[in-house]
Amino acid sequence: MRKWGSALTALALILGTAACSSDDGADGKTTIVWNMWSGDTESEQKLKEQMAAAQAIVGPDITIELQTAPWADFFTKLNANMASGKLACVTAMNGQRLTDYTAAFEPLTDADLTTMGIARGDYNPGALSVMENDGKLYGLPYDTATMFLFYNADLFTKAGLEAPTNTWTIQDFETAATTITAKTGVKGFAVSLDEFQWLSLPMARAGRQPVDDSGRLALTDPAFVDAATWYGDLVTGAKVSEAVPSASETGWEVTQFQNGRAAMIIDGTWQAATYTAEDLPFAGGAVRLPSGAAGPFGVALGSGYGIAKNCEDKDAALKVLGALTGKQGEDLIAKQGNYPAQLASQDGYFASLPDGKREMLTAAFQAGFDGATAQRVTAEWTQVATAMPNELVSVYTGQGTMPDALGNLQQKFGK
Amino acid sequence: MRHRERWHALGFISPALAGLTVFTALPVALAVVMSLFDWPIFGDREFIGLGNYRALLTDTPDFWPALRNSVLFTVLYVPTNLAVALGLALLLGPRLHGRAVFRVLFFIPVVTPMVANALVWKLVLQPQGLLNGLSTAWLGITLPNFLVDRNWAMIAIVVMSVWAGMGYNMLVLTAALEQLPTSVLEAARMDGAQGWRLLIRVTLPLISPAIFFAAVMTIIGSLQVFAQPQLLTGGGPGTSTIPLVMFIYDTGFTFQDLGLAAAAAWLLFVLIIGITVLQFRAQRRWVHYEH
Repeated sequence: MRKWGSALTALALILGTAACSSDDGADGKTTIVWNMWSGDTESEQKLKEQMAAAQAIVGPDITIELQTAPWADFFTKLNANMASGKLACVTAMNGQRLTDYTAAFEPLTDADLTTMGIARGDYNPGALSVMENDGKLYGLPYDTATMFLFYNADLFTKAGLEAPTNTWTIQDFETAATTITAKTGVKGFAVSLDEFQWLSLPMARAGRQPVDDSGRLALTDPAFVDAATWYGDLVTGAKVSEAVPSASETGWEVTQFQNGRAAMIIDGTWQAATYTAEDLPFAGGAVRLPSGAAGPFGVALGSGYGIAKNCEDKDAALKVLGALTGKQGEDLIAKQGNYPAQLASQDGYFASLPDGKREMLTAAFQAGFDGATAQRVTAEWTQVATAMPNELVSVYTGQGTMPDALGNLQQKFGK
Repeated sequence: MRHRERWHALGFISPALAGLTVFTALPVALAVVMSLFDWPIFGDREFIGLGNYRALLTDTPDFWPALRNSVLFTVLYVPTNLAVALGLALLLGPRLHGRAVFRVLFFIPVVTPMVANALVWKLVLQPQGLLNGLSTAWLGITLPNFLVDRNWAMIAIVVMSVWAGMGYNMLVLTAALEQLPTSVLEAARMDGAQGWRLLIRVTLPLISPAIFFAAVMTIIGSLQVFAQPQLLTGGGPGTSTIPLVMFIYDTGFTFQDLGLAAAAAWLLFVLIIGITVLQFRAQRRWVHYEH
């Protein structure tokens, strides 16, 4: 009997300790978890600097705790957190993914913005729309982005070509890619499987997005199909790009470009500093997307932070959000080499660029947002983006056609 | 006395029982409940009866391809794995010197993380990889792009999986071979059984319980295949290598439909249980236990 007694006591002790260990915040202090994606130690370090800066703003009563996951796993982890009602109070969100997550975020009111000392007019035009859905604002953007054409200047010189410009047309791009492939033995371009990395050139050529004005998937729009077919032909017809070796290789074109195996790629403006850095084995450059027949075309992208619906201390979360995305936070982001969403901090970004690259990148950024419209997504966009690589790989190997691939996707997700 | 012993016994098994309840029975029960609901990751849940099952069978374009892929993988993988493992076990028989070293070598892929295995195979199989490099340099033949070719992607996954998984079954079958009763073998030899005949008529029936065990476990494992296609082909090209578990994972955790994912998981469970029961029924015809 005594044994049972002691066992019960032990059990009671364990349960008691467990109950005590939950954070009750009785001393007026609270911890706000900030969940963000991060791919490498460098970006992790930048986030830690941002956390320290925000910590200094919010004061000692709030402790900010940073949690990160790589981009590829971030949304899966987010889903798991959502399922268990444990979404971090301040959670990062990407504009293209927002439609799937509106239920998890607390819409921000104008009063919230005032509390944080932020006005709508502080932002780059279109930047806030990235965090908006059905007229509600679900977070504040920390950056604003569009897609660029990045190039290896050494290969252009080797092929006897002038470097790309911000007034380049799709025709100029194709001619350069063909010339480089023929003259240097290195492929002029590397196609992509990633959503905007591959969609951008077809969109620019067709002058339209694959989602129509009313928000319906329009992958089989004849002009878009035609432009996308041209893109696939870069591999199978013009042979200016290798085929992607596997549907699981999203980001393949980045390694091709960085290792000097492709002269041009399309990637986001968030990579501008990386792809033009001094430590690359070649001189990297960036220009806006080449224009199609209808003139310059691009989409405004971006990411931001929102406040989770399940957050227990929303006032504290609002303070942290204000500190991370307010003027000081944005200035730091600019200094770290990311293009901030707030207009007043954007000069800081250009100032942070190395002298040799400043002029080129400033011109590219100014031209890049010219003709950029808010990106449109459908409710099933995540599924479309997930299924795209599997369809595209067949097109690149020539086993399938682009019209069939787009038709399959439209049939599956365009109901 | 007996009554007290029963309580003691219950006391001893209670930690295991508690673990089983919390980590196995409850989630399984929850999955049943989940499969009967429209259960998004976030937001309101609604009871829809067998709606998810109906949706899977009639209205979810990727379900049937995924089921087909899992079955196809199993049909290709299990016999190959068993044949290779048995071949290795026989080759590494008692007469071979240094067989312990070979056994370790063949077992290494089993204990290496699948991610590392897949990365290495990706480097070997891609167009700029080792295999195509050697083939073009030595033979002047350009090989297919294995991981994105509709006809080759599944075969590539099976080959890689056999390489990664054969060591385990090899060890199981080796253990069985080492314990063969020498008297029976000697008797068979004296009766004139040799080589192939000895293998088919005597050795294999003697190790049939081990083969049965290996077959059951390998089939269960291969119907749950996930990591290899996820890492090697991403399920592509098209839907040609998406297995059922990847479908469940995507449906639940990428597309946020936990109800539909739970229903698919239950169908997979039924399939596995069904096949296992069939195997146990069929074993009477070919598995010989010595008593």
